[in-house]
Amino acid sequence: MSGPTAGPVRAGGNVDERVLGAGTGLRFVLLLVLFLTSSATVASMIADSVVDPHHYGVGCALAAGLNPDDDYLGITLSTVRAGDAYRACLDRFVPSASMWTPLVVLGALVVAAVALYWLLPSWKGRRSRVVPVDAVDGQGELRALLDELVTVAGLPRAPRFVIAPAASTASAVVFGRLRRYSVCLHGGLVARRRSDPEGFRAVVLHELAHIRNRDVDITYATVAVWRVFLVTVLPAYLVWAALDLKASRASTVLGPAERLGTGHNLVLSAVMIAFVYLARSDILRTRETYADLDALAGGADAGSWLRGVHQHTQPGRARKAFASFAALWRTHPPWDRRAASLADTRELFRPHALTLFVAGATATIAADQTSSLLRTYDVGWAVRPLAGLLAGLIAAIPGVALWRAVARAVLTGDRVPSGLRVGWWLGVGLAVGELLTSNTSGSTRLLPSHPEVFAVLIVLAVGTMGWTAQYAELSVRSWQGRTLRPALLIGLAATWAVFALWYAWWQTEGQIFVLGSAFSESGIRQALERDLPGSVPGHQGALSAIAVALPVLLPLGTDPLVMWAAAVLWLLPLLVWARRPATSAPEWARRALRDVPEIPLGGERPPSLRRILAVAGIGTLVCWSGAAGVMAYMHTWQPPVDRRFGTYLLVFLAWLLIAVTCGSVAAAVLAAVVVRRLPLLAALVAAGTAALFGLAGVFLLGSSDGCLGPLNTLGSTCHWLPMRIWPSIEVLLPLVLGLGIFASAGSALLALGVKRALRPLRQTAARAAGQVETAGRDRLVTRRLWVAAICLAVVVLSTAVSLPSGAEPTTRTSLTRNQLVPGAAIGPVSPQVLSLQTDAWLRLGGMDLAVRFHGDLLEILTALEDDAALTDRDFAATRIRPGCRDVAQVADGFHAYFPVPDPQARQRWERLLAQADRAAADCQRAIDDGDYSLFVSSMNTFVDVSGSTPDVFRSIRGR
Amino acid sequence: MDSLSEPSDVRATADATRPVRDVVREVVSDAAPDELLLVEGLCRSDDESVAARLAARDRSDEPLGFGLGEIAALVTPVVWIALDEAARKATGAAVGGVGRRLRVWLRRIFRRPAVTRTIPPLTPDQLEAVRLRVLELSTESGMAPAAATALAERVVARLVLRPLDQLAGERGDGGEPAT
Repeated sequence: MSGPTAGPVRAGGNVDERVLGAGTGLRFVLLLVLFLTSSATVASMIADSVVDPHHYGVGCALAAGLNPDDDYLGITLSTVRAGDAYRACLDRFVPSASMWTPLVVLGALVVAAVALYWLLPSWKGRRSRVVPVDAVDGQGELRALLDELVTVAGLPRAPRFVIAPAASTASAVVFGRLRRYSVCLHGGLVARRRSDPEGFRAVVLHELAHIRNRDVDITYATVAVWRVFLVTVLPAYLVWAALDLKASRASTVLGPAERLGTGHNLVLSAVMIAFVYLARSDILRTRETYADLDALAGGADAGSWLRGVHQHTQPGRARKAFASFAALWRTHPPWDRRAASLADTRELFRPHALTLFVAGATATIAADQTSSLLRTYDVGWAVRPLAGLLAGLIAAIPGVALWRAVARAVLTGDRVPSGLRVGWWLGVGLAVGELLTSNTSGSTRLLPSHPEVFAVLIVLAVGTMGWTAQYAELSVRSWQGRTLRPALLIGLAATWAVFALWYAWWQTEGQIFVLGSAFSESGIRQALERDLPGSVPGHQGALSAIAVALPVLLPLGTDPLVMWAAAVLWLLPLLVWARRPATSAPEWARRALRDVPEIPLGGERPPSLRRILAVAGIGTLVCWSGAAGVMAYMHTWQPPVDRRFGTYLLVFLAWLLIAVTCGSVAAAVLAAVVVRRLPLLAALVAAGTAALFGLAGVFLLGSSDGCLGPLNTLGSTCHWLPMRIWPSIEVLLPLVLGLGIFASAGSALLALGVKRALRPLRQTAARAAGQVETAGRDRLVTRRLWVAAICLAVVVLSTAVSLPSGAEPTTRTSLTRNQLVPGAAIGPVSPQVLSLQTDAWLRLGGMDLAVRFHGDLLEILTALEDDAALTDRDFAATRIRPGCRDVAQVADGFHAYFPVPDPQARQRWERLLAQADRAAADCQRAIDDGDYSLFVSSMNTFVDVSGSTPDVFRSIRGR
Repeated sequence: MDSLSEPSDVRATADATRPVRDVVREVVSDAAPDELLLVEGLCRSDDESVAARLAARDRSDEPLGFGLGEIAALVTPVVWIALDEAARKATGAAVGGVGRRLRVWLRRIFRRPAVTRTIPPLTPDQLEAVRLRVLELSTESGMAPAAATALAERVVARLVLRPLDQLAGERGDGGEPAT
């Protein structure tokens, strides 16, 4: 390292790279998870093909109304709409592949991977390739040198040293398993041990550092797992795909969709393999840099790395571009970067776009495969918890990267990263992963109908990472411990909680919006009008808006976890505000900056809490005035007392929700604009406080409803009735303090984006604001009192909402599955598809029922030919009544079965069936009651029905 | 040290053929004594395997390696490959090719005893071919021209010079010492 450049570089480079964990372990775990999910998916696909070789599953879907020309939403909804009939068809015809199949396959693959992991060291260290150092080093000169290096490297016991005499590279490699490691010295290195002792030392120390950093086991575990996948799962999948493509040629209607689906899966597999290679190389490159730094710390000469730089310098732009692309796939960083990292550890603290992108994409692929598998085996309830677990990995990988970058920036006085870039690349990775999997695009088209909904993932990632960066800064600046790790763990747990909640929502519900709206707005509105008492004409618009919002808000709004996750977002930073400011540099910082006499930490304090609370006060005022405005407006169309708790209350609650959320959003936006430092955290605290006090205002207004004159809404007589408004507050709480906080965070991010875009214009103003901001400091005791009061209130309210209420929930609704499914999602059917649907309908139960129906009618008609049929009641009871009962049973069977595919034939058939059903019921009642005229009329109906039946059946069959 | 590093039986015979590995060891101990460890290591395998492994390419991007793909200009592989080829040509065996690895592998499977490659006395033309081949291989491996020339001449000298015990035997017969 040359003198003149050493100054500024060393200032940044001196941060101990181990101030926080590198996070590579998490990335390895993600690769292992991907191996498991991909293997289980392939095993499940093959098992499905084996148990259902004739594709009865597809037949059931066709009979249910599946249209292969539809998009994925239409296909899914056609089976959803068929409901129990579809399930019954699958139960009857498709032997369910046991969940044990993929589990057993996974077990076998894991055993194979463990065996390979166990055997790899023996293979790499086989006698024909390497020789032990002790066997050839008669005088023990090399052994003594190696022993000294083992002591320098700080290893408790020496590994086995072997020589690969035929390898002429001046290198070495380490391999082994579970603390039995071997360092293999290449012939070229051994030959140079005297002529280039520094180079020899650097290489051996580097390899010993790999052992000390525990890189060997996890690396070879990944190698073993991946080789097992490539040798077993991938070929099995390719054979399956080839057979599938061959089979798809048999059908002209289903074939194209099937080929597209298989092609889609093949592309996914290819890209996934590329991602795994990229991820693995990326992780290994990080580990190499750590080993380099350890070797340097052990006294290796940096010149040994410079030799690599001279050797690998690439002239020309095109060559350089190719070299940087090729470098992405290599397990070692380019030499210039390795040499640079020795002088400056900055590289180890920088979150890399590729790392984040690949982590996001691979995690989504694994998550989608997991959820598909769980749904296939009817354990859909496990999707949410498993998605939450996986979200931990997705959030922790960029989270650790961000914390490291922030810690370094705080220690060196550099600009602290905003987290937006990290969030962006993670979000893009998540979205690309989703695009690749067939969960959203389905097997019928390459792109989903609404790819713009993927923006939700990007916003989610950007928001979470923006918060993580600011919280990390707040926490790092005030952390007093010996090590920073507990602060990181608290911060990551919070990031995980929030990300997991939203990611689990995405996996279970959010994803569907990429396909389109899965709920019929008109169906919900009609059900609301029917089910809620006191519908008020003239407010259809409000009801329609509620019907649109309900499918989104209901699952999230009723989940107390949303409220807790939102509470974490703003209470955790608030608690840091209550900490005593640091007076001297903490021990962790002194250790991290081991050879810098003056530590630049401190100075920057979090923004004044008083200022944030003042902004929250403005938000609270907006909430209160909004609530008062809503009550005044509701008063204008106040219905009679008995009709105030249906539609009127629903509309009132919706307006209150909007009013309070507006106050909270206003506080967030204002805080984001006026607070210079940590604006997102300030915005969240302001929004949370405003929402809390806003709701308190609503509670006060609601409790005194009836005494408010022009504001009276639900009450007409003046009493203090807190219990009257409390149920409404219970409904609003998770929405306002849960979803409302997230909406405020989104608005604050937007405001920050605008502020950043306008920064050049506002720079001087912001500087002035900054001076004001740090000038007035509030007292610690006051600050702590405020923080304690707010935290206590939120925790008590969240607990109250989370506890199960004693009353049974009244979930009676007239909404049927058919009404809930939007008709527009299922498109018109071509004659070819209709013919296939009809064929499936007939084969999978329709024909059976029709034959039985016809037989039962014939039985009745034959009995009617007897003279006693219309005169003898006993004859009717013994010969005709069973036929009537059978017709009723067949009619029930038809009701439980899929509707007839052809709409016109369906109408005729349903009319006929209704006639027969009614006649069957009349016949039985007439015979039981001795009602002759009813009996005769039912028999006449049977005669009519049997006359029309052949014609109607012909129309069903389309000929 | 095992028996492979000791003078083999072939050397004791009076027909002046010598094991390739012995000549390699002699050249390396003169030209690059630091590489003797490698020669000893290689000598633990049979000649077929050694020749196959020396001809194989090294991986520089192994996981957990140092990553330096720099090939050291080693004397041992140059001399061993050149002498192995010369020995094969002189005895009429096939040189190199895909078959070599397969042969090594099959022999291992069927547990056939390893053949010790020997080099007979070479004609001046053959010696010149060896010299040129050593020069070529040394230059390929990145050795400086002067060092390459010196090595080539040293190899030829070693091939021409008989070991001391053979010299003594030949003097007793009244024969001319080899020059």
